[in-house]
Formats: sequence, C-alpha cells, structure tokens
Amino acid sequence: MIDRPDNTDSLSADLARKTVEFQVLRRVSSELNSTLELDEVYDTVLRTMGELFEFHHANLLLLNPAGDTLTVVASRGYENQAIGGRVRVGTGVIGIVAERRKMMHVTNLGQQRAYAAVQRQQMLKAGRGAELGDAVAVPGLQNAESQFAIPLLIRDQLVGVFSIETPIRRTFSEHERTLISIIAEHIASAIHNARLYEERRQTAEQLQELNASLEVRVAERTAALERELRVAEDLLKDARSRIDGPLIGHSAAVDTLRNAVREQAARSEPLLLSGPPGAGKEAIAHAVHVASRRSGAFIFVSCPELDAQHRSAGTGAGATTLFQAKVELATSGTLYLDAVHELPIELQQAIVGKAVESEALAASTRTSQLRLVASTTRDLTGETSGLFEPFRRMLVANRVAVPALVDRLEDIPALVDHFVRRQARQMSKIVDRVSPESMRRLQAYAWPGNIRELRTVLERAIVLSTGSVLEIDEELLDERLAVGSYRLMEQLGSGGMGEVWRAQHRLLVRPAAVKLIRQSGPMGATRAQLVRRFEREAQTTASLRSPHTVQLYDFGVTDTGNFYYVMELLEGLDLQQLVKRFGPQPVERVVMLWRQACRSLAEAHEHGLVHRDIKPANLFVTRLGHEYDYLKVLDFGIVKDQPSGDEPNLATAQGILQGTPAFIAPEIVVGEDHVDGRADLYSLACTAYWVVTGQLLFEARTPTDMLLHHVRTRPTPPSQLSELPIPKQFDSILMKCLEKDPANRFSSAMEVDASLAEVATRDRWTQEAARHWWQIHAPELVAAPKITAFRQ
Amino acid sequence: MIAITIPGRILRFLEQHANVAFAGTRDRDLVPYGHRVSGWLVEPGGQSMTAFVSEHSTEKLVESLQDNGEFALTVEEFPSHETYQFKGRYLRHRSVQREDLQVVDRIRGRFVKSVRPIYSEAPEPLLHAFIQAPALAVEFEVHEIFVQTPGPGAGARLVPPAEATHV
Amino acid sequence: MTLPAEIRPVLESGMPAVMVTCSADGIPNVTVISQVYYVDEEHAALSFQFFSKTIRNVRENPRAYVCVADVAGQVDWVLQLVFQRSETSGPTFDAMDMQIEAIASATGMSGIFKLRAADVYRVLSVEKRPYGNGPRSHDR
Repeated sequence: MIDRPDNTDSLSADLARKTVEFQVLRRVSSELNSTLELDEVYDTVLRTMGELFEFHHANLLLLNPAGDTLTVVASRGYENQAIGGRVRVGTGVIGIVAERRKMMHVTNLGQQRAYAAVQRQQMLKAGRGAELGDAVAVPGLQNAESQFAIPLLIRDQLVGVFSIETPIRRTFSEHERTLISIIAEHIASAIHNARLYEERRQTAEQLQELNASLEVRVAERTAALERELRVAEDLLKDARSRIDGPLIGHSAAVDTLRNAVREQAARSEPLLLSGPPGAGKEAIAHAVHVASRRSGAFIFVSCPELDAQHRSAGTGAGATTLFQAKVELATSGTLYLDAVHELPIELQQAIVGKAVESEALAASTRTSQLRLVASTTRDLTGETSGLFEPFRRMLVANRVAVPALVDRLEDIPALVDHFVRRQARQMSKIVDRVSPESMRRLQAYAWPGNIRELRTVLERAIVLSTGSVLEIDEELLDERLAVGSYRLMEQLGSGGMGEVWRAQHRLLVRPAAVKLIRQSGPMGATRAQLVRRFEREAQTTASLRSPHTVQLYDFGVTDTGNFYYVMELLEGLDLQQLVKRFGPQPVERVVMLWRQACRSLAEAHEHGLVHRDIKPANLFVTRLGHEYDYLKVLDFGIVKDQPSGDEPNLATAQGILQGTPAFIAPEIVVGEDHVDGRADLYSLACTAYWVVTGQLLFEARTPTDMLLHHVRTRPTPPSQLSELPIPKQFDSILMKCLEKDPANRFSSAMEVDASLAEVATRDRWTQEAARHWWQIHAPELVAAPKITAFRQ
Repeated sequence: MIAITIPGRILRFLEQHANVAFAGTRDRDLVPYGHRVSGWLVEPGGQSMTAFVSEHSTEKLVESLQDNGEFALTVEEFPSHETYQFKGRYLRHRSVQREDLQVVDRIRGRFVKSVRPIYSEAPEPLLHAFIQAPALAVEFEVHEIFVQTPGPGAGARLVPPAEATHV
Repeated sequence: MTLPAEIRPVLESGMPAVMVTCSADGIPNVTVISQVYYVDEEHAALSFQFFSKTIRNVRENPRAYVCVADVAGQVDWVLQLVFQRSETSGPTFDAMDMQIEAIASATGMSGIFKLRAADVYRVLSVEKRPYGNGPRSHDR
C-alpha cells in the first residue's frame, strides 16, 4: 500500500512523496532483479504490483515472436485461469496499448461498452449489420469497469503489456500512473533479461543434448565405419590376392606379366588375355583396370551365361538387354568378357558396330568409353575360331598371354606363402609355414588348374590342418581331399558351424554337398559325448523322408577327426539370395513356397524334431527334374529333439543362443524349458514376412534389441508394408503364427498348410509362371547342371 | 413553428420507460444553460409537456425563457440509452404540486432500479438523491421531436418527419 | 478558470455528461456525451465521432455548457466552455482515439465507432453544485 503523504507542508510532503516513490522503486527493482527465472519474474511482478497499488485483477501478457498476438503468461485474481489467453494486437484496451505503445487508463468501460452496444443495435435495426464486425472476447474481467494497461518496452521494442482491471470504477492518480510507468520499465527489463537467460539456458541444454547425441552417433558411426573398414580391408585383401596371385613371384614370366600390365594400362584399345584355366586372366584384367586409373567400374560378364540365356530364351532379347545393361555400367571403366569365345554372335556384331538388330546396343558400346578386355582359353588367332571375323580381328590385334603355373614353378613358394597367410587368417588358424616336404611336393606338381587349383589345395589343407606346420598330402594334389567316399571339389561356403564343399562320389556321378563341422565343442564336453551327439543328430536328420527336406546321404568322421555330413547338392537360390537379388515376391509365390516348408516341418515335428534355425538362408528353392520352385529345408544340423539330459548340443559350441536373432521364436529367447515345433512355425512366418515384404519382422540395431522385439513388440501386418497386394487371409495366418504365446499360434505345420491352401490370391503361381521366372531372372541356374553357391 | 402531437409510442416511452432528463435554454447572448429535470408529464392533448426542474438547476432558467422562450428537453431511458429530444417554446411556469412530486417519485424509482446494477456498491440514498427534488414546473409547447439514441440515426427529426437527410 | 484536480476523476468516470449548445439562430440543443476528457487545467476535450447538431452548433456558436454528475459525491460539476479548435492529431487526439478504438475493436465497431476529431474547449468557469444531503463516498 502506498502511503499518501500529508499535504499540510508542501515541501516536506513532496519530500515524503519522493521518499516513498524511491522506496517503492527500490523494492520493485530489488525483487525483480533477484531472479532470472521467468516464472518467478512473473510472480514477482503480479505480487509486488498488487501489494503496492492494491488491485486484485491483473494480467501479464507477452508479445509472440510474430508480433501479432499477446499471450497471457501470468495472471492474478481470475477464477478461470487466464493463462494462455490471447489478444490480437490492435484489439481491445490491451491490444491498442500494444499497438500504440502508450499506456491507457479507462474508467467507464461499462458505460462505453453499453454505448457501443446501443449503437450496434441501432445499426442492425437500420439494416447496416453488414458494416459490423464480430465482437471479440478478450481475456480478463467481462464486467471490468476500469482498466489500466501499460506497454512493456525495451528500447522501444514491445515486450508485452501489463494490465490491471477492476470491476468498480477506479482511477489511478497522475502520481500512481507515473510510478507505474517507471516500474513498467523495470518489469520489461526483468522479463527481457529472464527470457535471454532462458534462451541461453535452452540453447545450452540443446547443445548439450546435441553433443551427447553427436557423441553417441559419432561413436556408432565410428564403430560402423571401423567395421566397414575391416570388411573393406578384408575384401580388398581378398581382391588383391586374386589380383596379386598371378603377379606374385620373381620369375621372368611374372616380370613379363607385370610389364605387360603397366603397358596395357596406358592403352585403351581392346585387350585379349589368353591362357589356360585358372592362370589368373581375370586378375590380370583387374590389375590392368586398376593401373589404368579409369574412372568407371570393372564389370564382369560371363559369356557362357549370356550364351545360355540367349539360347534358352530363344530370341536373345534378354541376353542383349542384360549385356546392354552391363555396357552402361562399364561406362568409362572396363568391360571384362570372360570366355569371350562363347559370346553370342549378335553381341559380337554389336560390339564392332555391325549390329543389325541392336542399334541401341551398338550406340551404347560406342559412346560408353569403356575399355574392352576379354579372356579366352582358346587360340583365337586362326580364322576358324568360330567368332565373327571383324570381332576376332579386333581382339587378336592386342593380346597378352598369361602363363600357366607350370611355366613359373619358381614362384610357388611366394604364392604359397601369400595364400597360406591370407587363408589361415580368414579361417582363424595359426599356420607358420609349410613343411619342406609339402613344399617340394607342391613344386613338383603339374598344376593343371594353375593358380586357382593351388589356392584351392591350400584352402583345403588349412581346413584339415591341426598344427602350425601345414602338411599337404599327395591326396590333396590328386583329386583333392577325400571325405569318406567323397572327394571335395570346391568350397561353396563357410559359416559359423564349418564349411560346405561341392563333392563327388568316387564311383557315382551324382554330385553332393559335404558339410564339414568345426571340431570345437562345448566346454566340458568329452570327445565321446560329441561323437554320440553328432551321430544321433545325423541319424534323426537322415530319417526324414519329406521331399521338401534336404536329403542326407551319409555322415561320418574324417581321419583328422572332423565330423561331416553328405547331402544332396541343390541348384537354385536360397530365399535370402532370392529376395536380395530380386526383391519381395508376390504373395501367391510365397504361399506356394511356405506350404512346401510346412510339409517338411510337419514330418520333422511328428518325429519330435524342432529345427530351431528356420530362416531364409535355410530354405532353398531349386529345380527338381521338371519342377520349378521346389523348396527344400536345409541345415537340420542343430535340430534338437526331446531334451536328453546332460548331453551338450553341438549348436551351443560357442555358447550362443540357438537360432538366428531375426527369426528366432520368443520362447527360445526367454529360455523356455519346453520348446516345440510351434517355434519353427514362428520362424517360418518371420521368413515368409521377409520374403513378401523384403523387410525383417523388426528393425533393430543390435541382436539384443531384435530378441527383445520378438518377446515384446507386436509386428506390423505385412499388408501395411508391402507394395504388392496381400490378401487379408494371408495377413491373418501370418500374424497368428507370430503370436508371442505359442498356445495362440496354429498347433501344427499341417494346420498352417491347410489355412494357406484357403488363401485366395488374385493370381496363381503355376509351374509355368515359375519356369518363366527362372528363365528370365536366373537362367544360368536352371539351364544346365551347374554348381551354385550353397549357403548356410 | 407549430405545435405537434406527441406520438403514442413516445408517450409510452415517457410514461413508462424514461428515467432521466435534462433541459437546455439560452440567454440573450446565445450562451447555453442546462437544467437537471427530475420529472415530466405530457399535458392533455399531447402537444405540450411540463418539465420539473431540479432545485439546484434553475440558474438563468426563467430569465432565458422569458427572453426568448427557447426550450429543449432531452429524455433518456437508462441504461438502454433510448433517447429523444423535445424542442419547443416556453408557455408558462409554476410551482411544483403534490401530484408533480408523485410523478417525480415514480421516475426516481425507475431510475434507481435501472442504475443499481452499475452502482452496486452505492447506498440507496445516493442513487435516490441523483433525481433531485424539483423546484419549478415549466410547460412548453412541443414543436419538434428528435431521436437522440446513440447510433446512425442520432439527431434525426422524428416529428415532424425529416424532409432531408439529417446533417 | 482552471479545472480543479478533484474534477478529473469525475470527468473520467462519472455518469454520462450532458452538454448544451446553441445554434447561431438561438435554438438550444441538449445532448448526452460519453466522456469529457481532461486536457489540462484550462482545457477539456470532447470527442467528435458523428457529425451532429452539437458539432455544428459549436462551430456556429462556440459557447457550451457541460454538466457532469459525481453520483457518489452528490455533486454536479457545471462547466462553461468555449470551443477552441478541432484536433485530428496530437496527444489529446491520440489519447481519446486510443480509448475509442479500444472499445470499437472489441465490439466489432472499428471504422464506425471512430474518433474523427478531438474538439478542444477552453474552460471559462467551473462550478461545483452539491445537490444531496447524504454522506459523501468514494467508490474506490
């Protein structure tokens, strides 16, 4: 309460008044400057002003950044909280004060409102309602009689408005108005400072969060880059080894080859590399490409595959299209034609610009500025080569001969040293050297397969090695490693459990796949326990007769103590390769494939077997006789039957969870004691999900996150993700298989199969459709018996 | 100017709704004077009115009326602000009679009732006092009636009807 | 003659004031005005919103009579004024315009309820006329 000085003595009264004013200002200033917290400033303003000037209703409004509206940030005395209320600049007492930046004191608001209301009514009666605007509700007392509003300014910039209202007529004296004006400057300053402080604090917090987030992202990115770098380094080393292979050594032949590479790198005309199989022609072509520093890519073309496609399609249009695509990819780079003697003649004509039917290809070839490098194992110098003559002449005009390994035997120690070190590192084995006897054996061998054969022999030797000195037996050099009655011909793949090889029975022509199991077992497991376990697993797998389960021909233990399975060798693609290469598949095809997998699992489950590792890589789509899209379930190698006491399972050799995180059932994640075939149904549904959408069931940054998702997260139905139409029935079946609680899933694989049989799709996936698909997309896999990568 | 007859609805306004009035005169030098009016009535025939001037507002009243006879009376209903101005010529004046006081009382009652919501805290006697005790009754012949209700038509002559647009 | 300080709150918040003017041909005119604005000790201003008889009268005959009631104080303040000038800018005009616009903008009357000019009057005389016998009070 401001004490009004006595007027009896004007001088002393004036002094007293000024003293009071000073005290008021000092108090207000002190309170406002005691805090930089905006909310506290607001409270202080209302409280202090209320106490000083005895009002009960006040609003503090701040101007929004756009400058067109004020918002109530603090209020006092209103029953309905006014905070958040808005006033447009230029509307009402507060809005006009904000607009004009001058204080306003009105003491007969009710009367003025009444006058305006009467006039408004008269306007309406006179038919002039169209001239009227809408009345605006402003925050504050609806029945205010007096209002005093003052702008809050910082250097002539409007910060906000402070408004006092009373329901009765009340005037502020000149003296009070002056005091309030001065205080308003302090209020504006305090709010301005508090806002600045708040902005800086928020900026600092945001920066901190950003820093923390950046640190995490940098760390993640660094880790990812390090991983990529390691992978790239490995790939580079691997690539280099293929490049370096033929260029390793000190023989005259290798020196000649190195010179040839340097010379050819400076040239741009087509180059023909001739030499025996496995001599390293592709590697030399790559070396020339790298040395030439061409800006484009090195693009590999398998001429035999092109020829196969050309012949199987009938018209050659597919081959031409594929070749043209490769030509375009090789722009400003190198186009390497492997086994160029098998290039379809139409493409030969197009390359030399004599194409009759493929002008576009001829044009592409001319304009792409690629360097053509071709290889052949044949002698093309004669005119009876079977090639289009202009094409042949072009090729033989610039050629380099790649020597056979037998012509550079003095390079074998260097080559052996190079390959052994690399491959031992890849297989995580320690091999210090090759025994002298083995080295002599290697140098005495004729090497019909040249460097490629040398590399393969060394790989097998390392696989079988048990010590740090590598021994290469005679057997390795003569039709290579024998496993039981099978000879290992070529490694097809390698994984966590071991390697898979293409193999040939000594007597039978039928090719097979041999899976060699890594020898390490679980901690504490005896050798005898491991052998018993392996035998039982192999026998249970062999007992499965479903045509949709990969056939197990044989199993055993090698002389060096490695376990192995012998299985049917399949041509085709596993579902992982299929989707990666060709994208999500139409639902009708997925239904057909899924049903086949169900039949395989149905038999296994009837035998009490749970696969536990159903995933795209373990579902192989092959051609069986004249049947296309024939699905086989692979890798029952970690199949678990009923719990059998204390025998360790080979699958837990590294103490890891059985199964693959992206496809693993929740009950396996949480370690349920009793896991049955319904876990396989879950994994199979995850696989079907992936095949039909191209996406994993859950996105996760780490395997742990993925496992948690399986336990906790409800997946998105595939129809919501797929670009291809998916019937509701399919969604329902899949989502039921993905229930967290096995009790809520289908009870058996045959039940899933029966439900899938009822799914009505717009189109049908027939054998004709399947055959057509394979011929277009991967003719090389179905045109002739060929060995394909057999993944784990 | 000739006397006009006050229309029925204006009569009803005067008798039932209006609750505050003020009169104006001017002296020989055209200096205007105002006079609070506590009540009014319409004389039989409806062509003249009598205004009861408050006891504190009679300065220069009779002198001015006797000089030029010009008299203006503005009557309002508060708080609707419906307002009419009656202009005319002074006829005579007299002292206030008992029945005049009854008219004033009725008007005072209407005024207090209407203004109470605005002056909710004011004691009743305060509001009563605003309609002051009348001292003089002035009768005048009504020549013109104007609408004074705030709005687009304010100032327009009602009776006799305006011939041209009100300025 | 000067306006005393005690009249200022009455001018700002009193009952509607009454103004009497007189045309050049001697016809008085009585009108209710919403507010009398205190300009300074010697001047008061009235708002010119609609071109009315009052506006025309004071331009013909500058004398004006204003009566403002202080209901709480039971006092009539009677002012004799003479019209000085009509302002369309300046602090007086701005202050009056702000108030009128504040009401107009909130009631949808912008452009209609508008100050055209501030008519400034010089105060010739001020008279305080108590009319009641009841206690004085201040509605603060």
